[in-house]
Amino acid sequence: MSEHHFDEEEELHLLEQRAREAKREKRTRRPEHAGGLSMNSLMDIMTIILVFLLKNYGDEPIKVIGEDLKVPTSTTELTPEDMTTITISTKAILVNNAKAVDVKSGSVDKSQKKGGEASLNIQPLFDELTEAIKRKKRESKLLGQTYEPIATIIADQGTPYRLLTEVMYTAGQAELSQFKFAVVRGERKAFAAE
Amino acid sequence: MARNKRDSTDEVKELDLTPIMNMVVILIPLLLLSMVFLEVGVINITAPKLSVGPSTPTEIEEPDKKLNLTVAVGAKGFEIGATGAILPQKAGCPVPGPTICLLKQNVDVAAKFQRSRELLSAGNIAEGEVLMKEALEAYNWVELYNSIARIKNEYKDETVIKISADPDVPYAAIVRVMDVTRFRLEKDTYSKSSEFWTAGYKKVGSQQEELFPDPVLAVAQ
Repeated sequence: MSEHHFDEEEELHLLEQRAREAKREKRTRRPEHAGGLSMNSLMDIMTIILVFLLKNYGDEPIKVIGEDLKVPTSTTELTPEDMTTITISTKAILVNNAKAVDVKSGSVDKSQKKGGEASLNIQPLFDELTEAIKRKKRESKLLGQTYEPIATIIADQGTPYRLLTEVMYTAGQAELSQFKFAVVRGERKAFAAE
Repeated sequence: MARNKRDSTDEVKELDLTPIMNMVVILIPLLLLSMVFLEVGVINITAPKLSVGPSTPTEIEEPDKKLNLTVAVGAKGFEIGATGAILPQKAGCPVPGPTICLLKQNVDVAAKFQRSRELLSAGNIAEGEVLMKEALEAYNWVELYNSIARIKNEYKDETVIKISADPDVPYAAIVRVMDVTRFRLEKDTYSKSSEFWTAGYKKVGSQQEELFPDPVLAVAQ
């Protein structure tokens, strides 16, 4: 009877020991298992981020910041659309990202202007714009849309008014009559003096 | 033992994602870096009315009814004019001079703009921006808003504002003029600059109440 009792106790002890061992084994094995799982969720997160970033990357219709370009801040609420863009950076004027003419210290060299220094017509820009508009017209015709003579002007914050009017005048000559100025949206508070 | 073996072969069959992971890990920082966290907006501008070119639609203008509000930005301040007349000068401004002179009259705005432009084109954006900001702060934006709001009260149907500037005035100043004259703020007159810039827009329903939201740029010849 006592032997049996002892056996039972021993069995209990053995069971306990086995349970402890199993527990320990489980505990030591768990990190391995958990590692694989977190890797999977990490992959999910990364895939989602990647898709999101790729989508955002393609979405932006215009680029407003670069080494030699920083547009001013404004409180406007209108959003940009995809259209002919004229970029005036501190170094060059571009039409749809193709360089049209050089800019030096806020003005275009007078040899590039039709009719001397006082003229507003920048000849290379005019040529480039006419080309771009021709393409755009053909494009809208193929797509069955009506062509609108609108251009987005992306100008650096330091662009002098004179150069801006020259560009707008030239664009006017190239049959563009409506403009949109691209700006970075900001709060009014940002304009306050410190 | 046999079971163990099968287990291990099962594990091998799983896709090896390491190269994809490598690619993703490289792509994400690359895209994040090239992404610009800025919201871009646009301002609608009507082209200056020029005599040449078939592009500008010929409009029959009624000179009697139009206000022809014009704001000219100069190195000394703002000049506000309308149908042939120029607004009386603000008290305390030097005569002869613009309608609204500079807030800080000792600041040489033209020189600051010039220097700022040089710095910006040289690639020194931080310093150039500081100078540009200093020069812009010298202008009396509060008084410009007060005058424009007063004019709007008398000509409620007008939305067009002509903006002109000296040839050397930077684009940033012109955009700022458009910002100030676009919407009505909570109050019609402000006296302090800090109060003015922190004020919110006056709303009519969910829309902002407009002042002169249609800028037309005039060509300075």
